[in-house]
Amino acid sequence: MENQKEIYISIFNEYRDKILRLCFAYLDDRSYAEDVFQEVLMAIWVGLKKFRKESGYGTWVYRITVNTVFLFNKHESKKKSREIRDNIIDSSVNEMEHKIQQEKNLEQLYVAISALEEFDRMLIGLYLEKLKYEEIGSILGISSSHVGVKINRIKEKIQKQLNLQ
Amino acid sequence: MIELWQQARLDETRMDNLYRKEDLVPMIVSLEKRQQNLLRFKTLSVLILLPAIMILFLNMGIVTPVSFLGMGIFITSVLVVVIMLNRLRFRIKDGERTLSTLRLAGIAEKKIQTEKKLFTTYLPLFLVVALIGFNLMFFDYLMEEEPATRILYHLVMTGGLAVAFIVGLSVRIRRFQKQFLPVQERITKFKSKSKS
Repeated sequence: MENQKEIYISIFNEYRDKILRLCFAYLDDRSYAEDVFQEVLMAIWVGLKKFRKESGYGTWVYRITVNTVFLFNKHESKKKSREIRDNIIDSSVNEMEHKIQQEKNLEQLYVAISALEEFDRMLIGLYLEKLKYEEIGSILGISSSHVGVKINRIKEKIQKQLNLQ
Repeated sequence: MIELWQQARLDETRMDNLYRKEDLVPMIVSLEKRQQNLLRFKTLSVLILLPAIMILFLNMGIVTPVSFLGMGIFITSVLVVVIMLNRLRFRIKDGERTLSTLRLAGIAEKKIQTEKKLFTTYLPLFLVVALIGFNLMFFDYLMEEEPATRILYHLVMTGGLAVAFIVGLSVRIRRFQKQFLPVQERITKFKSKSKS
């Protein structure tokens, strides 16, 4: 149990930003992010008891995150919170100007991603987390060559969307 | 694009307030316990309710082979339905959460179909069996009544049980439409998109 706690906390520290960014990439309404985030944390805690260290924690955490977000039903969600989203958007409001510009760019990127289909959102989220094509393919269940083709198409779509903004 | 994406970080202080390290594990453990307790409560309720009905029934002095047969049929059908609802209801197992999303989508799709079968096939079947059992339970008890009164009693019992069942079923159907239809649509889209 102690060991499980320690591993859990270290996973939380290492992956919390990544988990949340993936939640943002996938959800068209990001105000549900905290609910999904909690579901992911719960799934990681429960799954940790049976985790066989065949692969690293990374792919395992990403699989749980992607699958939990995929099955998340906002109609079942008990509460809607904008708090986490606001954390990202508001965090640097009073900082330097270029930082504010960065936030704007980030928001534009979110908007462009949310215009994509759900599958593409998930795929680009994993790509932006710097996962290899093989890892993305194994998480989603498609071949790595297919991942490559799709990512190129998605990048073009995002670029078009960003140009429109 | 990657760089921009990676820059999105949470405000550490605010995040630490939301999920304080010392509270994180207790929070998750209590959430897990709450879910387990809910399941225990439901099982316990059925286990208490059924013997209570039996005792009440025996206290009414209805002890004939037909009434016993009826009680057997009724209780068995209730137990079967409770077990079925528990076993067949949509639930993603821990191991399934670490499968590839495409495989999980296939599994989830099958589970949704099973869930649908619950209220289109199994539950209506349960109603018929439970109604037969329930009417048999009181068959001998009402024997001394006038035929018209007997028929009326049986009709009232059948109607009451059927209405309660239909109300329960419609709640379930509404829940299905709200919970599972969006997931079903998402799975269909996901599968077709993964091939394109």
